[in-house]
Amino acid sequence: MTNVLDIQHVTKQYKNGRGIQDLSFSIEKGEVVGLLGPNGAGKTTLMKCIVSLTQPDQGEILINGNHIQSQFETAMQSVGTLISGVEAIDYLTAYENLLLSSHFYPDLEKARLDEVLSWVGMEKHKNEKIKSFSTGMRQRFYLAVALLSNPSFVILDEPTNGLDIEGKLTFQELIKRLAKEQEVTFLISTHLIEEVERLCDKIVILSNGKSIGQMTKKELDEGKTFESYYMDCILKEKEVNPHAEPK
Amino acid sequence: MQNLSNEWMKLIRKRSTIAFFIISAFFPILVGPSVNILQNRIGFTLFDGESFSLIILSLAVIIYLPLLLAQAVSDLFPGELEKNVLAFILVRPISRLKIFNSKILCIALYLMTLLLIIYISSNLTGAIWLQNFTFKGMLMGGFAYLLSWFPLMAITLFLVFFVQWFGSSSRALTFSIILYFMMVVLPFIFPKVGLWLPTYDITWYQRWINNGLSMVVMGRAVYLLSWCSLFFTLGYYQFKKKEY
Repeated sequence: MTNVLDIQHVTKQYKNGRGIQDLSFSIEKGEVVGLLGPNGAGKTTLMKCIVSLTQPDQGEILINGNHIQSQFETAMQSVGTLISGVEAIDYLTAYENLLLSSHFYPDLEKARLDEVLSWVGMEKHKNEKIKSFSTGMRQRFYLAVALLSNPSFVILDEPTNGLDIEGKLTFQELIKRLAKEQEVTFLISTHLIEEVERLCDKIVILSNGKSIGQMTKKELDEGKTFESYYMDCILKEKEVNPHAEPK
Repeated sequence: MQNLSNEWMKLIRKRSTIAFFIISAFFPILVGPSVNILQNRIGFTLFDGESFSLIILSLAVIIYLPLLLAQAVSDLFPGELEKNVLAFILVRPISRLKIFNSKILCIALYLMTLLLIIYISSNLTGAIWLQNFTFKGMLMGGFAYLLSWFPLMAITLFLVFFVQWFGSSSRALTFSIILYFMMVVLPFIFPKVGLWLPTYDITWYQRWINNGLSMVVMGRAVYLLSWCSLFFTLGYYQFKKKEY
């Protein structure tokens, strides 16, 4: 079976020394994978490499078997994204922004725009301009954009940032439902370990641009949680590299 | 072409774009009666209805339109980069070449619209306010407006290449204005340099009207085409290699 995402020995180094080094992992269809790590670990860099916002120095990235650089359009047809820092056009309304995005998916029906807005509780605000939205409303809207194209693979970079408790719960229910009912695959970068425990089937832990651990829920020892595994990995990394600080 | 409608929607929904369309329409309307009053006072005809659209065009192509184009280019390239809006489109299933093409086509369409507005407005003003408005003058004006699109696009592509060095639209706009004025002023100091710049052809419609399709005009057309190809390629290279 083809993996939804294949990351093979990907390296990306910025001039300031930050980045990712020799990362490899894969995600199977229907999996919800959590990308964990301290600030500056390289989570957003990896996500930007996956969607080709930045080019890796080395390595290969394949989405559904399509090489992200040489087969970008085919690869991205099935991908929904929410990348931290990426902004919609703030002088247009939420609906107009969705309409703009929908032009890239020819088979998409107009009804889908209202459907995704209702999923994130934004249907009442669809005719409001993005610049009038609060941080939480923007985040809900970006989640709607990520789900717009009926994607089979969704990349979410800190998706619950700025969301209230109700928003977080709605988000978690939505992810669970889509993963279970439609076998949508998710790669979620987050700092919230309780979110990972609730949602994820697998975690990948990054520290200083390197992968320091990967674990599935099935493989966890009895009585262990993702949180305890995460702490074990971070402590082990500190023992091996006591002077390693986030760059 | 799926992104052209998006780029056009982004451009025309800006208040500044609407304002420029209105100013473009009102400029000849304000100039026409002023010229008429002045001519009546001095008792001497400077411009008539036949040549009025060409007078307005010569003013527009030298100062007004290049500034509007610099503004549009700064908004669509560094402006979107500054606001992190460009990445919003770049993560969709569309290649960077198609996005770049759609942006250039959008600016081309914007320029065409501005020229059309000024053309209609100047002809209406000429017909209402000035003497000797002729159908021949109107046709000749239409030809001149159409021809003016080409050298202005060459300047646009030149600016597109340079503005991508900047991360802010205001800095890019300032640089574009300085660069354009250097291109205008430089030939006065070094006349031979002027031949190499597209600003030399900014009023080339006069050459077409005076001499018709001559070898010189054809040579300049080929030169402008080469200029456009070169800076389209260089601009696209800049756009493609950019990381977000």
